[in-house]
Amino acid sequence: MQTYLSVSVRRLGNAAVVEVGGELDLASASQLEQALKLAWRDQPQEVVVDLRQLSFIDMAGLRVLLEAQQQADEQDRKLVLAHVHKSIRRVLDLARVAGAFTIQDGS
Amino acid sequence: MSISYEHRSPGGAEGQRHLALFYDDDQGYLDGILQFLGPPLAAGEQVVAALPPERGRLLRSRLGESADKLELIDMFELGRNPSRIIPEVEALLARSSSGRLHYVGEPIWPGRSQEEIREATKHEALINLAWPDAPISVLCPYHSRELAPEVLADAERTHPFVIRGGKTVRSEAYRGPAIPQGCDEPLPAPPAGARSITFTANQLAAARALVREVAESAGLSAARTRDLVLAASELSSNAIKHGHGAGVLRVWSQPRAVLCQVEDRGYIADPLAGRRLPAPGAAGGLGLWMVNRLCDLVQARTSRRGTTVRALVRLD
Repeated sequence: MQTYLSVSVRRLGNAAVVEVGGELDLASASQLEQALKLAWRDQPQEVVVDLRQLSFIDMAGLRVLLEAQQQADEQDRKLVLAHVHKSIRRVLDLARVAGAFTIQDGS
Repeated sequence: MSISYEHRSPGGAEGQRHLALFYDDDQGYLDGILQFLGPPLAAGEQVVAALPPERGRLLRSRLGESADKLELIDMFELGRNPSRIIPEVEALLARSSSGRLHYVGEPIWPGRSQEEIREATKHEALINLAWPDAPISVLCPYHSRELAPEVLADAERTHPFVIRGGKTVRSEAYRGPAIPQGCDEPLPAPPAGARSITFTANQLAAARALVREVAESAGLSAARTRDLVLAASELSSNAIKHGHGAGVLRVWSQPRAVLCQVEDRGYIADPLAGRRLPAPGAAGGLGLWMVNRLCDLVQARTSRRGTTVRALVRLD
């Protein structure tokens, strides 16, 4: 039973929106990495990572997000985590990384 | 092999001091703690005590007005999982403005389970490794009449100095950060009915699903099930990254808890793995630290032959 992760990238005006669904772990992290590379290639002003359908994230998944944030910072571009629901937020807080991101809270 | 461990003098100005206080009764308990806390309290230095709540109340009532200057922490919470204590104290040190931090910590109390006492003893040994040069004095009370003789013998192994009847003496049994033998032996086998799965990266999701299933059947709450599943995912990921790509996960329930265990062929070289306060924003090497935050007890046994980490979440 491979880790199920769905990732889609679409352009919305000046932003690229990366929608992530399913589970983000060591096995599926590279899928998100690829999608983020794709999103940046188009030179959007910002990349929004929509986590509404994300049901699970662990440290391996967090690492991909942190690296994406680091790259955005280095290139002076904006990365936003959107629709971060409570249980995902808890993992960010436990790992002490919530402060590293721009987060739009989820419903 | 005999190694002589340096006994830093408790009167020295530099570096960590780590003392065990053996007490017989409430009077001895309070006298010993006040001997330790009195001067720094009077001098306005940072004073913290992490105690079982009823001991905290006792201390507070004895201190009267000066209890205001004491930061009192519930050790039932702080030390529920003894592996959390070192990073929590490190956070206190980081907050500490100046001077010396005086910390009283009682993670071993009569009635605490044997498994928990073993992990608390391991924690005591590792204090000697954690911040040897930090301006901190650590006093650890032990009830000498109600704790088992092995527990007291281990306290003498893990503390360079012991206070008995008001007198501070060098502990000849002190072995520095070495884990006392009884606290580092292979864990007893999981019960016969434990579910298990052998995994590589392709079975990470299945391993999590198995833990979720057993936790839910046992009646673990949704939130704590998420915690245990996350812990299992971190342990399994560690096995894949550091344990040659594979491991075995076992999960079972007890009347009051759900446990999962990951075994792999890797070796945890760092004795303080999982006990270091992570730099904010860094995500590297934090799996074990997360597991310690999420679970109520974590027992890790590692050697060149392999590693087993067992994590427990209570049904409360």
